[in-house]
Amino acid sequence: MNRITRINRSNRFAGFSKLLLLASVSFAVVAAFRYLALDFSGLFTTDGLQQIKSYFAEFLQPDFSPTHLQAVASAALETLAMSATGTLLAAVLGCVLSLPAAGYFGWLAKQAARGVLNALRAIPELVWAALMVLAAGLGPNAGTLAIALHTTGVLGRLFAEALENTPAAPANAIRNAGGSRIVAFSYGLLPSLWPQWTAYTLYRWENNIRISSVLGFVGAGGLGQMLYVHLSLFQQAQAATVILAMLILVLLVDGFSQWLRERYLNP
Amino acid sequence: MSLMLRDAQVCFPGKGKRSREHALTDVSLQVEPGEQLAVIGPSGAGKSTLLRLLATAQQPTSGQVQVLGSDPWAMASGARQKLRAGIGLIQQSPPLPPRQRVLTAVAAGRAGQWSRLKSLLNLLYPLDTANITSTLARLDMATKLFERCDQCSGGELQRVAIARALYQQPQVYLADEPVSAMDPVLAEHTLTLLSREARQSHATLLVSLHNLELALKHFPRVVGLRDGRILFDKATADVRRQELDHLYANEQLSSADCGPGILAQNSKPKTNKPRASIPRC
Repeated sequence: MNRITRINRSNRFAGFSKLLLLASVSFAVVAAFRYLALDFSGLFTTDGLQQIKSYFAEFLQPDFSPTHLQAVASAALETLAMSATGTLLAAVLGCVLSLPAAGYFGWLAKQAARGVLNALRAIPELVWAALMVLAAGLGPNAGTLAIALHTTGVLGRLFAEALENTPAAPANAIRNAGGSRIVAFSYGLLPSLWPQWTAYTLYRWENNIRISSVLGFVGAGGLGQMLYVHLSLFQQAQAATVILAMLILVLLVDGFSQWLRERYLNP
Repeated sequence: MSLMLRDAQVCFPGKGKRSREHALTDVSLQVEPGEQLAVIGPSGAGKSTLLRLLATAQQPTSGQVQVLGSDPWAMASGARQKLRAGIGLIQQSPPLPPRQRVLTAVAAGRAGQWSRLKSLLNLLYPLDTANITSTLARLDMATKLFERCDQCSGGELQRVAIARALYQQPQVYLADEPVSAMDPVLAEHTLTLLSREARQSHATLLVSLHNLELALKHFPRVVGLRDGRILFDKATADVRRQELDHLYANEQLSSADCGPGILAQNSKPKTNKPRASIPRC
C-alpha cells in the first residue's frame, strides 16, 4: 500500500467519525428535550407573550417611596457588610492555612491543609448558607459565615499557589545570614506575596458581593432575603427597587476594588 | 582558624540516572582570621559552590567544613543560625525581592542579630535609617535609600548586597563576584572599600573574581580553582604566568580569538583603561 492511498483512507475514516459525532450530539439534544418534556411553544402564543409583557411591565415602575428606599438601603448595607466581613475573615483564615498547604510544616500538614481547603471550596456558598442558617439562625450571621467558609477554601488555595511560585532565594539569603524562619518569610517572600494576595482578596470580594445578594434566598439576610420576600408576595415594584440596588452595589464595589488595585498593586 | 575545608566534596545529581556531577573534588583550604584572599578560575570552575559551602548555604557531600572554629553541620539548627549571623555572603546576582525598598533590603542584614520582634517592627517603621544611610553612602548609594530593588541596575543591586553585608558586620565576608556588573572604576573603588572595611573590623575576606587583574592587585593570596579542584594556593607574588595560563587554558576556544594575548595584557604596565581581561560568562 503506498502512502497516498493510506492517507486517503484515513481521511475517509475521519469524515465518517465526524458524521457519527454530529449524529450522536443531535440525538442527545433531541432526547434531552423529550426527557424533560420541554415545551417552548407556549412562549410564543399571543396569550403567552401578553402575559410576559404585563409581568415585566410591573418591574418597570420601581417603588421609590422613602420608607421602601430606607429599607433597601439598610438591606444593601447588610449585604455589603456581610461580603466585606466574610471576605476579610476568609483572607485571614486562608493566610493561616496557606502556609501548611504550601508545605511549610511537612508532608502530613500539607495533605491535611489541602484536604480542608478542598472540602471548604467544593461546597458552594449557597449550600454553606443553607447549613449555616440551620446552625446560626436566620440573618446576616449565617451569610457571613457561609461566605467566609467557601472563600477560605478558594483564597487558601490561591495563596498557597502564589507562595509556591514565589522564588525562595531571597528568603534563603536571610536564613543564611542567621535570620529566623518568620523573619526570612517577612523579608524575603512577603514583599512579593502581599500584592498578589491582596489582589486575589479584592477579586473574591467582587464575587462575594454578587453572591451575598443571592444568599438571602435561603434566609441569610441582606438584599437577597428582601428580594425573596417581595417576589413571593408578587410585589414586583418593590422587587424592582431591590434589583436596582443590587446592580448599583455590585458596580460600586467592582469600581472601588479596581481603583484600589490600580492605585496600589501595580507592579 | 576562620575557615577550614578538609577533602571537601560537593556533588550534584547529574543528567543520567545515578550519575553525579562533581562541583568540588577534594578541596582543602585553611584561612586565618583577618586574612584576605581571592579565588580565581574559569567559568564553571566551582567558585560559587566553594563560597556557598563556606557560607553554610551548601552541605558537603563528604569531607569536613569548619567555619569560625565549628562544624556547622554537626550542630543544632538554632546554633547554626547563630553561627550564620557571623557570615556575610554577597552573591553575584543578589536575591532581593523586586518590590522591596533598598532601605529594608539592607536592614535585613541584621536579621540574625535583631530579635524577631525588632525585625518585624522594622518592616512597619524603619528603626535604623541613619546607620543604613551612612553604609549606603560609602558605596555612593545614599540617594537610592527609598528606591525599590526592581528600579536598581545590576551594579546598584550588587552594591545593595554589599551594603547589606557591611551592615551585618560579620566576622567572615564571602563575596561571590561582587563587582561583576560594575564599571572598572566603581569595581576598583568597591573592592578597595570591602578590603578596608574587613581589615578595620578584623574580619576575614574571601572574594571570588573572574577579573584576574583585580584579584592580583587587591589580594595578597590567590587560590586558583579549575574543574572543582584547587590548582594552586599561594602568595600573589609567587604566582607565575605559566600557572595562570594553565588555569584558564581552554581547548574549546581557538587561540586566535583569545589566546595568550589576554594573559599577556596583565603583565604589561597598566594602560589608562583597565580592561576586563577574561571573557565573561
